[in-house]
Amino acid sequence: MIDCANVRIREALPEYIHGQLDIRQRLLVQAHLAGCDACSAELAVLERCRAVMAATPAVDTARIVAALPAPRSGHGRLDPSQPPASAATLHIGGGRTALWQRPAWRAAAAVLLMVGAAGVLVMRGGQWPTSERAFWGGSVAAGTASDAGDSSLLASSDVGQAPRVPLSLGGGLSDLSDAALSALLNEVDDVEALPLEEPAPVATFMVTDLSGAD
Amino acid sequence: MIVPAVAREEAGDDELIARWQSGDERAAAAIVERHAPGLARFAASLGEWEHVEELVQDTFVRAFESFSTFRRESSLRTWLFTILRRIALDRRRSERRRREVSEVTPDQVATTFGALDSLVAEETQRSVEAAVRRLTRMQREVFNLRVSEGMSYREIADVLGSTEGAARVHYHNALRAVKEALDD
Repeated sequence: MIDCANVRIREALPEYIHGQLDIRQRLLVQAHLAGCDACSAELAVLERCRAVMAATPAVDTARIVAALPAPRSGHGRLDPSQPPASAATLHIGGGRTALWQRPAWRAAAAVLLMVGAAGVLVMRGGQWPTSERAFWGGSVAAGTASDAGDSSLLASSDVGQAPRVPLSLGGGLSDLSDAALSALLNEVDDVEALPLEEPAPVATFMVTDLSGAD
Repeated sequence: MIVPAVAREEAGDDELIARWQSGDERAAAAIVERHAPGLARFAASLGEWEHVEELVQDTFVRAFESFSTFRRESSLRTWLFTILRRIALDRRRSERRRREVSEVTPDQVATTFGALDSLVAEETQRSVEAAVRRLTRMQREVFNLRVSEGMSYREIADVLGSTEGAARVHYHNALRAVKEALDD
């Protein structure tokens, strides 16, 4: 018996005899079988084998159920009314882990927070308030910054990665000499906390349907 | 449009497990009734003719004791088949009955599957069984899971602790051997 060269159809034959194909796939297989003696013969072999092997020895299911252990009270119960337990105990009883507690989602959330914070810093790159310029080249006296809100924004952002230098209050950027301004800009470029380009978009995943047969 | 209760889909395995863990014994019966036939066929295909019910019962007892370790990376059916296969292998090692399958006589088979005679001609039954018996153990298991249970290569790999590629190779080798045996 020569095998058909259409591997995709041959691979689908077990699913075909078990009724696991969708209607489109089923029609494709039927159309192929109508013109392929090799696949028709192979299908006949599979159906004969299935008929013989599908004979089911009788088992007493009631006796099996009677032998089962009782569920342990309070262990692994799934109670939707209760808030999610800690990650260390969520797997008991096989309950599903909440989305926000899965390590992969936590990591993704952390990355998004960092990207967002970095993006805020980039957006403010052309308009450094006095207090922020001082962070890079001077010292800070508490309570003297006129734009305290920007300072607090800086404090809440992830600028802890920037190099710590002595801070001092000074005048505006226009008061700096060309050399000093150039040196300041070079320092900004060297700081790893500030991305030099727009952050890449968060990757999304798409599931493609691979089940179709031509 | 209101869907009548009889038309609703059966509860999934996850829901039944949750119900049992909450104390619903009917859920346990539903799980057993749903999966026992497939497990019984699989046990028979492994050559455990005389201990099918015992194997199936042991499988369910172990599974129900261990639902906390069931991570749902595979289906419940696949997990149950894996447990049964492990129990059967342990039994085989301890009792040293590796050749039992090849020692099964056609009469024994007829007794075990007595009802089959009314469905399939005796000659077909004997020839198919002889062809399957000539397969290697791995080929026979893969062929049975694919043809009799309709499992995917992924599920077969999970049950046997193998890979999809290996399952595919074993299946096609088994199919070729069976076709040649039936052609003889």
